[in-house]
Amino acid sequence: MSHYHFCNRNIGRPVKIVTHHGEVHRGIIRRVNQSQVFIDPLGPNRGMGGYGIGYYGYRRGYPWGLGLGIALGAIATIAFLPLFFW
Amino acid sequence: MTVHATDEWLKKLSTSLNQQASSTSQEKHKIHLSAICEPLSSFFPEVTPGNIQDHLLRHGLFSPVTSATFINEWLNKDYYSTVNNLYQRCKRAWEGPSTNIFILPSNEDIRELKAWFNSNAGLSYPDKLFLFLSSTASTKEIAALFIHEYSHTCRLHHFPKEEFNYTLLDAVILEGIAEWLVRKKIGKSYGNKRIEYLSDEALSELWERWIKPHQKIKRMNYKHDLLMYGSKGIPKNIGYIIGYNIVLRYMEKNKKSPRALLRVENEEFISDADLA
Repeated sequence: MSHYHFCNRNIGRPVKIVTHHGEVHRGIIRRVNQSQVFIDPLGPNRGMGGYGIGYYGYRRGYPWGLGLGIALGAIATIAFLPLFFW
Repeated sequence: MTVHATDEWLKKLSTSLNQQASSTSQEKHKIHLSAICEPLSSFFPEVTPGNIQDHLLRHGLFSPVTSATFINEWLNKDYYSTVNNLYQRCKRAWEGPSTNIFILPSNEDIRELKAWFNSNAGLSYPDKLFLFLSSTASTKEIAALFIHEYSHTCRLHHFPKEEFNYTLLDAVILEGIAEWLVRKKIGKSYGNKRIEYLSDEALSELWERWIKPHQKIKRMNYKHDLLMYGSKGIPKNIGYIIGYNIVLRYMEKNKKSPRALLRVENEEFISDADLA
């Protein structure tokens, strides 16, 4: 399966992406096009935390703040973050 | 420290939108950034207005493509005096800190937010809180949201640690206290609708599985929000549900005032809920 198809079928799931340059990204897939996948990075969120009521959104087709774009051609491996990685 | 005049920001936003009626969504995004997020910069010294915008949008702030008409109608509701009254009353009763309050419209197009929270959302910090209110928010819904968020500010105010050192257990107890207070003060049908009563067995099982092994992970660890809010394979709002049930058990055994409840140590809750 191509990276495109994998990402397209798994929007909303947490993944770990390793690029050919060795960069590691963890995030939730938000959207994908023919050249890039956009993820919502997990992890330190730049000191923006806070405590919200019940809602922390990411959704399909969100037209702004698209998250981190990673070129599909740069991806070496992409894998689900196991739910029991704890 | 006050209820800030976000109505002035919104009026400016609405005027800019009217002046540039044919603007693209990218231009509207910039107008929203400059009217709403730039004035917030001094309250988030370490990040850019763009980071603030992205973060608040994810927590339910109204979208940059909202129309000027909608904003004007929202402003006509005059939520400011309602919130200020609540603030003064809670502050006095709980001996709570002064804080910075920002009231803004919510994003009513987010289906999940509408279905589960009637499009009202909030976000709080030790020194500030945000209320994102829908254009149809009732006084009781506003009170429920305010109590939830201000209870966080009160408890965090007494925490002897920096925000980046807060743990998953801190969050579970914070949310539990907030949801317990909302139900106690406003009514059982208010607050997060995903919260349900758990039997002792269910509580103990869920605690052992999802929270206990990770209770010390820090706020910025990526697992933190997955456990609080849920994800594929992790029940929605599991951290909130467990927290509420822990506080419920504690308050059945200890009849405390809200003021006292807000100051109880995490460990006391855990031991009284027989989860230690």
